[in-house]
Amino acid sequence: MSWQGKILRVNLTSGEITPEPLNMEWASDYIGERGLGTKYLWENMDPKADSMGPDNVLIFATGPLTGTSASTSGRYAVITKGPLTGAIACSNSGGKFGAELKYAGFDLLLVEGRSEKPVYLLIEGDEISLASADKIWGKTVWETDEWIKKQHHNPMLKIATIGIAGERGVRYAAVVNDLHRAAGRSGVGTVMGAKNLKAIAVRGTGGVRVKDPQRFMQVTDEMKNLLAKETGGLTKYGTNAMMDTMQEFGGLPTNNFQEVQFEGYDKIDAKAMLKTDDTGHTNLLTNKACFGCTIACGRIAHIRKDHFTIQNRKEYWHASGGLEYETAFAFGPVVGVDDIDACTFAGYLMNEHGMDPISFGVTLAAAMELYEMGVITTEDTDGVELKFGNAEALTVMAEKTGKQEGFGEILGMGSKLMCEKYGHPELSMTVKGQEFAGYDSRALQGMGLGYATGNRGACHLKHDTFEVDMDDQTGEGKAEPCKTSQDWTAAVDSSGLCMFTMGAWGAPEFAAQLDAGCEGDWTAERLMESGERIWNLERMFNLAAGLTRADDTLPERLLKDPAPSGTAKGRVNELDRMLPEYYDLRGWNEAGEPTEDTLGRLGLS
Amino acid sequence: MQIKVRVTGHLIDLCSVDEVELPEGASVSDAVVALGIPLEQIGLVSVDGQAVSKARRDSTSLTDGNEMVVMAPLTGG
Repeated sequence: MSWQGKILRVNLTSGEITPEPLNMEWASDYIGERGLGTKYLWENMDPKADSMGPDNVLIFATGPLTGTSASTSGRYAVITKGPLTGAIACSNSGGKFGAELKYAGFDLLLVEGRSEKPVYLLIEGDEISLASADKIWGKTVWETDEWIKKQHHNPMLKIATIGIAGERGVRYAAVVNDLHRAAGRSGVGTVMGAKNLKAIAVRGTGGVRVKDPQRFMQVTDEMKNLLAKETGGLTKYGTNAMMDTMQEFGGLPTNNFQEVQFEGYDKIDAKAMLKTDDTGHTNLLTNKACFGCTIACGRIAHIRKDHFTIQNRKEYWHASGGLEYETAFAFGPVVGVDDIDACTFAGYLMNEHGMDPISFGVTLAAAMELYEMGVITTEDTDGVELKFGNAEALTVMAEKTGKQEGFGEILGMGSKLMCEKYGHPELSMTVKGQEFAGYDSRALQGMGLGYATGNRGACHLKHDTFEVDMDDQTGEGKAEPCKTSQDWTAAVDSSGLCMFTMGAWGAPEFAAQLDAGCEGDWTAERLMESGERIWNLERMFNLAAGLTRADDTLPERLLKDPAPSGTAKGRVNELDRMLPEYYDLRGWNEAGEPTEDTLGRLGLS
Repeated sequence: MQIKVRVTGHLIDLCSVDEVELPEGASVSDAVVALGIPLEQIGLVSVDGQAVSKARRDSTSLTDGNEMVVMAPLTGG
């Protein structure tokens, strides 16, 4: 129970669509969503396969608690081999699509092969088919969502789709569901595009059965009350409430990580979003919740109609997804822009064309540094002055990249390949080819270790060392919380619930909900062990794909150039100190490979 | 003595003052108590741009005119 007990295998090469029973032994060991998807990926493909080829596998996985009455139960994850990194890619999303997939009766979709022509997958109850996407290939996320609903006369369909960026090979293309929620990172949309799969449209009318309905209701109600006490700040301000903290702390990456504080931060932070200007315009309209969520951290915003980005484009005179911390960072400090409307518009474009805002912003930041160094000129950039702080350059390049026009084709390569192309790989702020999020690891040491060891490349969401990083700005004692939180986050990401609950719920709270809802006995200890198993299986995938210890590193800028200001002024990241301790705690050898003892203990031999 | 105060993130809802009056020799912990911000809601305190860890709040004395920033915890996102 809580699992539906069924997956759907879709072979795009042959067109075969086959329901299969869920492997309950794997569900028991890997929970669901990220963990279960990783296990299915491991068992169904060669990690050395070309990420853009037909032998890559693309998995959409729900968790056992997805679609239940637990708070934040709208999560699903997309798992594949990533085109940015050549490593495992796992990107999760909220909205309503995940719950709908569960209601259609499936725990997981496994997509293999490559369609000869563009198609979309339609699941309407028991009617499942691959349909021609000829009429929506070349359309945006928003146009595709509207077209499919009209085509099938069904506004209740929940749609996960790629935009033009995914079709045309932008290496950080996203899968966007419900118009503006996204499995945004690691190029999972790029893989979908390479398979000629435009969209997945689902309508499910079934339910989800839980093990002990009365206890489940009681426990999840208690957990909602706990969330209400602890997450009010997220509800009111969203994640962008962190902007001024990062500024004061001195960990706000600015101008491609050359600086760690940004003068214009207060023009784009959460308070700026709430401020009414002299024309009566307020950026933030309201907040929004994903399926079943009682936090509602999502932002709905609008842009001043007289702003240069939309003054002659009425199609954008509407409310849409607003700035969150990572988008504010990626369109703000890292490219030196403090124009809230330009940043908001860039966010619209990411959703409309289906791109990861973090990777786009950090890639643009590297291009701006190349431009200011004179390595590239306006002859390369379609006449656009790619200077830090140029808001017009931000929005013009966001659109060019989304549509793969002009210099946007270069930006679509991602920071690593672009910087290598121009002979300056040191300017790429990436790990394993994936761009950093909005935290400078000279100020946040454990974050640096988490970035360096991240299985999908640089990522701020697969570990949680914020508390220890704020309290102590050295590398001492960071390996253990990094390792433990990586394992814990892997379990949370596999449950079907959102990690934004982690400020209120620890392992006992998650275990209580799983135990009331799911088959088997679930304890905090079992969840932690499952998380460690998942982390190690992801590592095994990467090692089999050809990654090595040498990939667990940071750019020289963070290891050698001291933070120029802030509370960590003068510090560099102490990765050399932290990494051996981390490997030791993990039970890995000096090459970063799990030992036989470790694999045996976790059932991975 | 007068200590200038700034808060970040959602702490703006818990502390609306921009200055606090404290006796000579008061510590960072004394200032935090005077501001009435629950300790679990604090990520870090800095004084004149220098981080003051939890363990050093009691032993770090303030002087007149210091600028203290009380930062909300970071949570990712």
